[in-house]
Amino acid sequence: MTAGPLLEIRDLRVSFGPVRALDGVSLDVKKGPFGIALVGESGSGKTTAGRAVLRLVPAAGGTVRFDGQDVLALRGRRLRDYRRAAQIVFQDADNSLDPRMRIGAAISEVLTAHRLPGQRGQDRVATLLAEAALDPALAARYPHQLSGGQRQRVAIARALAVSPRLLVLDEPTSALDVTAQARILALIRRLRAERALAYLLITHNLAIVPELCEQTAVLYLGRIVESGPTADLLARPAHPYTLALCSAVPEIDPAIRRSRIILPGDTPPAGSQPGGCPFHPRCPLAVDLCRVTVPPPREVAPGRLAACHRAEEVLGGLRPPGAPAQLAGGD
Amino acid sequence: MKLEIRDLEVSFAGRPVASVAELAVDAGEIVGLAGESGSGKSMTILAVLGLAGTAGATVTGSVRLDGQELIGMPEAGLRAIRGRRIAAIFQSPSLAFNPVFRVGKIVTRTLRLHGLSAAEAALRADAAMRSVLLAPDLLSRYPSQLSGGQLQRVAIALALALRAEVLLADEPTSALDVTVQAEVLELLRELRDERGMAILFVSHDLAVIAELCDRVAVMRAGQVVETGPVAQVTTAPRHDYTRELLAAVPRLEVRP
Amino acid sequence: MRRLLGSSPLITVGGAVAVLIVLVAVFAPLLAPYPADAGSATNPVAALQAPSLHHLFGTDQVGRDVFSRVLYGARVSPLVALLVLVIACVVGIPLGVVAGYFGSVADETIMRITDIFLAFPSLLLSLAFAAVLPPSLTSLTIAIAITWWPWYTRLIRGQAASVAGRPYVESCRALGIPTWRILLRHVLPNSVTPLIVQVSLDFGGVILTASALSFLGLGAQDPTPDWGLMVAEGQNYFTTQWWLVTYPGLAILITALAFNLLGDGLRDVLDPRWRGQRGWVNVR
Repeated sequence: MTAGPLLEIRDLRVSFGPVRALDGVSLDVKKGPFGIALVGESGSGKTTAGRAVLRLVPAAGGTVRFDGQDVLALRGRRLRDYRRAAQIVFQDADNSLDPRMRIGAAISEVLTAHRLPGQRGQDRVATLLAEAALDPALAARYPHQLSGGQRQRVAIARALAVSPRLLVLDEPTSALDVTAQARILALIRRLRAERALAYLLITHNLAIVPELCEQTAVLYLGRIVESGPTADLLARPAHPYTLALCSAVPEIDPAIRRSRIILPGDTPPAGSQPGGCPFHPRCPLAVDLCRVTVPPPREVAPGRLAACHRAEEVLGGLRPPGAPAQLAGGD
Repeated sequence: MKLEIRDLEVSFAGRPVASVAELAVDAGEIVGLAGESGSGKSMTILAVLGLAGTAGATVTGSVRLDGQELIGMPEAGLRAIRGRRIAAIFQSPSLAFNPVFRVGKIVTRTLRLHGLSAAEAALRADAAMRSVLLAPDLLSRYPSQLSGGQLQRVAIALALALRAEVLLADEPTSALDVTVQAEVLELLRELRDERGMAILFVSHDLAVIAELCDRVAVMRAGQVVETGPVAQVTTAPRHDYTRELLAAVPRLEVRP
Repeated sequence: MRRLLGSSPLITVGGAVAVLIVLVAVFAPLLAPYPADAGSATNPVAALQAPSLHHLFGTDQVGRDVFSRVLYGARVSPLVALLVLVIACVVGIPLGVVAGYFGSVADETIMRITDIFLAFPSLLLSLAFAAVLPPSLTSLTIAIAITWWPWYTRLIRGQAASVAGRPYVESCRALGIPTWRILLRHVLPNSVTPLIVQVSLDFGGVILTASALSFLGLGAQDPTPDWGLMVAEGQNYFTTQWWLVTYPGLAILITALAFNLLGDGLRDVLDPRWRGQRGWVNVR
């Protein structure tokens, strides 16, 4: 094993025809146990990033290295081996399982495909289900006989069947009720500890990030606008979009409630990058420079990268007119 | 009280799916109906609109709008009320708009169906679009050309144009991005404050309800388990299920 | 299975008659009073006799018992139909699955070939092939099968393309499951439902086509007791000895109708009902 990050993404670009879904994304996923969140709204490219890393969509440029190996160039047997080391759990629990296959068969299919040695098929399936906090007796059921939360856990069990070192979680809880969501998050935390997992959590829900990920990267229109340690990033954002995103998260406790920064217009569709900074049409702090030059990501504080011409000001407390200085409650 | 629900029971072939003993929404207030999927909250909305029958359910009980009983009212009467006095917006705004018609056509046609002349309809539609911070020329687009947030705002604009007194909102922001959700919620607050609308807001997101609503009723498996002012229910819940729901909501600030 | 058969009156009636026809085909030697008449036996003395107790459906122009021949005919047409459909499926389904799943070049190539076949009216195309080949049941089967497979390819391709885009298929790719297994275990089973209905509906259609071709002399040859051929041979006697044409014609009608009803019933059962039975009422 090489020293360095488990997964290294540099300047990744993905296009679907004329649409530039990912426009140069770089981030590191350290070896497990480790969690990094890729946060963004629709059109940000976060789902595409997850898929590109796992070679489910073709990349148009950039590099992805897993344990030092170039992932984008893998073929055949090597690609299959990579598929064992890096796995993905999809968002759509309703459709990520073949409706005609029993749960147990769906899981053992993965074991067979990779010719994994070890315990007998049935035992292994039961073990995996139990690990995902599911009753092993469910192996005989069909997906439609399970609840959304249970289906999602089956998807996790299936991904774990190959004992991956990297897990990409694509909106793992978006389709679930809040109690089912809480159970899934607890499961992920437990698995992370038990298996020393490294995961890339893709989500639009900022609220689930602090309990799962120590690092966060915020995505907008295919570019990373800010990244750094989660707690620090959320407490002291260095980018106006992060400010707006944090302020928009609804909060139950009125004492910690944030004052809203309302961004004009809607989240732009993927690939509709304007000239200059991708965020400038909606940015409350935009100046002339922003309309002309794309701000490169730069280190504005130790471990903190931000792609904004006014990043230091934002970090230092600059807020859009009308918003109070302290946006997030102190911890 | 603007909208009063009493002893409402919605059942499918004898099996009750939603029972609401008492729920009222006054003009100028937002009442939240919180619950997970299967809790019966959406069926309650359909029952208020008199649409539960089309889903095959039987409805008993009382739903009064300004004292007028809606349960059992003939379809003609209900049609006059739907949209005009009680408007509704749903989770998937694209489902509310027929994709082969331009959005403006649907809006003006609905206005005309409720008795306005063509000129009045155009004027009101225009004004309503501006109220929801959308350029009126967006009305000439097809639903597929508008984003989810825009469509949801057009749906709200329609409710405004009709001068509806009550708005039933069934998970209107669940499918929207969080920054767009913030806009729509702000809009709903304006409707309550400036137009005095009575809003019944259904959601599984307790945090949104806590921020938006004045009072809340928590539903579970078809039953209302707790009601009260939102501040009280979220800080001092009386029912175990409410406690469970609150504990499950993820917080942005990590508590030590 | 019982639930399946009893679930709709269409399927019950259709299924019952279809089973009856199969039984007749299997037990024809036992049921037919004059089994030799279905072969090369002739009895010119007893030619053109009206239906009677001895000959329930009368006799034909060379004295053969029509009833026996009709019963034996149940072996011919349905067998041809079965073979045709099997060939059409064996050829059409894999092509459709490959075209739908892989898209781009494979899709274009396969669909253009399919289009070429579909451009011709199927009966005429079958006719053309049958005319070129020496007339026999085998040629008949081949001629019809050639024109039948493209429909199935097109049908399956649409389904396969839709299934290929579903999250569970993408899941399989992400999990490193080999392509052939994805096609066989996931894409195929989830694509064939509309085909099952189509095949049972087509059973009747093939029988009609086979009968038509035999009628034209391009399929079965005398003395094979093919219903279409019997109608052809009897057509000159239609106004006087009506039984020569009527009974074989009725047999064609009833068989085609039975399988048609079966297919219709299957469609009712396979599509929304099953989903409704196990699923939830989605009123959310």
